[in-house]
Amino acid sequence: MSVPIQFDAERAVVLSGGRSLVFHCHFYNCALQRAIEEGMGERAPKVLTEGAARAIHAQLTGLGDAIEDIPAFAEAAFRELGFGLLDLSGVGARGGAAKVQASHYAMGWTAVHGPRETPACFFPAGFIQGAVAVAHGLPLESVTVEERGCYAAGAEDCVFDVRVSEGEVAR
Amino acid sequence: MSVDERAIVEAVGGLPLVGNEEGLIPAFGLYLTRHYADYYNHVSYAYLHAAHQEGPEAVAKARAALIEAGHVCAFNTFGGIMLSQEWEAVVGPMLSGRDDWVPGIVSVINALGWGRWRLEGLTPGEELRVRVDNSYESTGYLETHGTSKVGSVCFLATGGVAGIMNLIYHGDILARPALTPDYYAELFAGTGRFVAEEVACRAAGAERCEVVARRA
Amino acid sequence: MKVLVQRDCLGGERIVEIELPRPVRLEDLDRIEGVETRTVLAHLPRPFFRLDVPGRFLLTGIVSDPRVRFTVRMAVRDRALELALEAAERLAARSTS
Repeated sequence: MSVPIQFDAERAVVLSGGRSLVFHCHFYNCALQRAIEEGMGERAPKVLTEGAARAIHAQLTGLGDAIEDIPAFAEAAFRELGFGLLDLSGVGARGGAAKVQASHYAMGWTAVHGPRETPACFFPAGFIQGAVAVAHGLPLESVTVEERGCYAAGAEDCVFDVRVSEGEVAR
Repeated sequence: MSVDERAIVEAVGGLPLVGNEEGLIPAFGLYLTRHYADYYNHVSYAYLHAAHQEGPEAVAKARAALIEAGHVCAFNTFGGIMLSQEWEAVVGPMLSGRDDWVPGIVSVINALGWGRWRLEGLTPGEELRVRVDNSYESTGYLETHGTSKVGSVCFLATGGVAGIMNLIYHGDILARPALTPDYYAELFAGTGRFVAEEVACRAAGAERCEVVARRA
Repeated sequence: MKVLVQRDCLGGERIVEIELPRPVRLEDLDRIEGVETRTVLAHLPRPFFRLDVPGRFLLTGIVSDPRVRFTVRMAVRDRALELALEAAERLAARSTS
């Protein structure tokens, strides 16, 4: 397994890069996302994406030099942690396109709630944002990720546009 | 034979719960993610704090929604675990009767990384009192926001404790029912259901988190 | 063999539960091909086993119990029943030694 994990049996916590990892199933993941979307309306996408971006950013920062190839680690972590298959090969320091197959969130949402009109993969979008930012030494807020095709909304796979703000690209 | 938590945690911890080549973790008849507590805490507390800006009605709605997500988790995750082959093999031989299912599922929970759940008291069919040490919710809240000015914050734990009682004493998970939406409504919305309250929360200044479930 | 095909909670009918004509023995597991990860909790009074065959299925069960469960991969879900029955027949085959 690529993701370094420490299990503290006495405290019953699992840490990776100093951050806590917890098991949850797609029923809870989708129920919580639905609660946030219904409760926060237009503010929800930013909150959900930001939550993911900060989480992976914190983990990668905590693991520091232990990770040599951050995009490869991010792809491996995404898979090992059960979120699906992430392909970051189309993303560089200036942005690009990322893809997720078998998205836990998209498939889970479809199975529990049926298809939706708008993309469902806020967590994967934030994960990509955080990983790209750390991989290329960019401020988190300089990277934006938007899902332009989602399995839950009828696409074959989930596709994400990754943009890096012009000021950062110019550096 | 009584429930041996250490053996249960060791057995569950020994299962290779890692994404397969499709990026999925099938286990206990479910699909798991090994997810980030930071993510759950960020989104939950953003919602809670936004509600506090809007007023008491919004707060009540947000708290209920977050606990409801915990109910959904309990019904499907705990229910799925208790219907699984893993449960049958690992926990089954330790169960003498219905009441043992409570410490059984609490033991499995202690392998999920949620913090240490301890059974403080069980009055079968009436009340369950659970103490949670190092709950990921209160730990995360304190780290990011300091002492809570918005009351207790362990919504997943609250929904989870209610769920344990609803599955074991209000419903009958021992009879191996199908976990359908109708069954969920019967357990969590019908007469005789259990509801839980976090009566002490570390994030709100208490020494530890404590959740109590009683009939509504 | 008694077959029960169930709907998977992520969509698609790819959980296949089969009741074999006899209880599973530990040595039966050796006849499953392509196993990459094999976990047997042998110390339990009812040993649990979990065999993962990439590209095909996850097989779980309890030694001395005739019921086994195949969670077939998404990519081959259209062949769920075929793959499960093929493996179940291997499991239940009589040893020739």
